[in-house]
Amino acid sequence: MKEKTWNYATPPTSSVPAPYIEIVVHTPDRSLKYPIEGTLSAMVDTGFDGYLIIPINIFQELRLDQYEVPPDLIEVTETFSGETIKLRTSLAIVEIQGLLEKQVEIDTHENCQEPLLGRLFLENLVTTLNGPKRKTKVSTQGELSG
Amino acid sequence: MLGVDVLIRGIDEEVYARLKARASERGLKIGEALTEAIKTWLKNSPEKNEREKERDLNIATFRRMRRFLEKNHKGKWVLIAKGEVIRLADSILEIVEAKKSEQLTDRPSLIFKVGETRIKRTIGFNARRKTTQ
Repeated sequence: MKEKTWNYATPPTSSVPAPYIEIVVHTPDRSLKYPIEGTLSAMVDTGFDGYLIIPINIFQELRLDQYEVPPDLIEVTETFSGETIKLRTSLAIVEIQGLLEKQVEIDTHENCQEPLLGRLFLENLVTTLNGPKRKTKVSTQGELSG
Repeated sequence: MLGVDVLIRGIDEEVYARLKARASERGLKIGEALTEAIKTWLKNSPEKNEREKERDLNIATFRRMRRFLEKNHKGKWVLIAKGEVIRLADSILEIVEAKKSEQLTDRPSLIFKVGETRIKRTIGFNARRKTTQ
């Protein structure tokens, strides 16, 4: 069973440490990737039901408008508070190095401040949050007991 | 500088009254004040770049072709670029290859599976919160 572990980090929008997973994003033809060196920290956000949402500057840097879903096929997106947000969605590949590569739909919108991994992406992983030790462990096989 | 005479309908009455009063305070004619206001608006509303214009063209093509594609090509992957339907394919891999072979790498494109691609999202608290500093 392959697994990886990362320490929690403090998100820019909160003082409470949160679980993060290190990823790399590729265009579907793999001509571009972000970041070019190293990895991108994406916060685990079970309140988001997509795969991955990224700030618009990363979306533009990857030139993801090359693989965009027509905006008419994106249903109005609501936040829990009832606000509506205009999303842009593209196809891309998300990689957790040495663990998983998956073609997914990646979203962005103007107010997105940091990458967030949502529930559709987490469906591919066994994710264990160790709150006291502030560690996130992910694997691609196995079942959690109990 | 020569001016043109323009009849504009539908200006908000209160906004116009405030413009008229402010112009009068500053000793300007309405046309001069409006020209100043239009210049400021133009400065703050940059023209769309070529990439954004090409994206708009692709979206217009999608809207024009959507019904036809849904009637005749359900289940096919579609690539729209340069304002045209470039390729219908059975897989996303074929679309990625078509982008290369048609020399469309780096061109804004729309990609979707007819009748099946549909994005619906609910976003939680973090995804919409702006950082305040």
